[in-house]
Amino acid sequence: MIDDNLEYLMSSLPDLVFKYEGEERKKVFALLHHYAGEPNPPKGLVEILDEEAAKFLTESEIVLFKKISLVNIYREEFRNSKWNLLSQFAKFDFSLKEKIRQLRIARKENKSGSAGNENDFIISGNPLEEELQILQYQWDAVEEFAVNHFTDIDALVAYKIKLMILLRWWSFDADQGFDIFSDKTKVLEYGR
Amino acid sequence: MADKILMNKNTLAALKVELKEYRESLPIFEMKEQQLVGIVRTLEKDITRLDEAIFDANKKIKSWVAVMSEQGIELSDIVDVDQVISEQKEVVGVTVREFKSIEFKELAIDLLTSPLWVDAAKEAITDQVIRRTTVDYKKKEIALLEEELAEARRMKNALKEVFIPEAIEFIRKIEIYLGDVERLAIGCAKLVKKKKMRKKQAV
Repeated sequence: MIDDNLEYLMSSLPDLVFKYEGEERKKVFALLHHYAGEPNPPKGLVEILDEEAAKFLTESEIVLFKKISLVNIYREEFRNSKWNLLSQFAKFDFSLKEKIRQLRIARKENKSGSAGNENDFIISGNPLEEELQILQYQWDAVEEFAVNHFTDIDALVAYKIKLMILLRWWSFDADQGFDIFSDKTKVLEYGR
Repeated sequence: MADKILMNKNTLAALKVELKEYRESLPIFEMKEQQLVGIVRTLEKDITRLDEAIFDANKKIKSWVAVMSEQGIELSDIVDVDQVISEQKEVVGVTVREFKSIEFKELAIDLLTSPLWVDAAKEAITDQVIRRTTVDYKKKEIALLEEELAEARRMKNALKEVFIPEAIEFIRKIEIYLGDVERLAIGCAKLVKKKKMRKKQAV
């Protein structure tokens, strides 16, 4: 029953592609805003997805589904989840975060940090390039875990994770970032 | 001033003392001017070098600064200034504040949950804040030194163009006057002596 409902939902959601181009973004935003019933809704795309998904999930499933975010998905509660894909991705993300943590420690201690070390899953580029690599690893992992899942809860979870990955990438804005940097580095009060 | 000056030996002596003092002061102000010019030039070069470094850093960071717009990351939680350390010092008689360092707050960054870019951002922000603050302090130092330089130049020019020439002129006038007075006195004395001698001869 749930699968039938999810089939309807999954088939009507916009396809997600790991791209930064404006056209791709516009398509995703437009379709999801269509779900919200207005062209520029005040809520974010993830919230819109949560609300749509809530129509087809049980109460407890809604609670868990809404909790999923890129920031916390590595946590134990998700690693131990009964939803296979969620559990797989949470374990993957935890492992990825741990590798990144080791890389950061090594860099601080000046031991390594460039390509070819034990952490060679990340090539040393500028910070933006590194973040894009991380997003790519996450995307590739979720795609792999989502193989043969099309209309079940795992497919829905995979969709949400992919949406969050794209939204994180699309949130990187050079002008805004530079304004923030300039503000943070402005001259301090004389004599402070 | 020339109208009011008293044409006597006391005035002459005082003027000579003044002239001596002016002549002794002039090289002091000239040296002060040279020192201040040198220091200001050095500071200006430092500022140019730092401005170039700031520009280069801004240019370099533009390739990845987009990450700093990520939602949910507050840069103040990553790097925040505690205090600026500066030291008062005397530079050619001017009290200035010299920038020493900046103390940043010890903020714990969770290496597991915070994004990777945060480490590079912290370093970039820290370095740029130090550069900009250094430039600001140096600019303020230049402002103070330039005030003193202007004063030193005013004094030097006043001595060179006004006080010393004036004193020399007054001394010259008084010496001429006193010389004339003396010659007149000598002339008169000779005349009186001649008259006395003629009287004696007549008798």
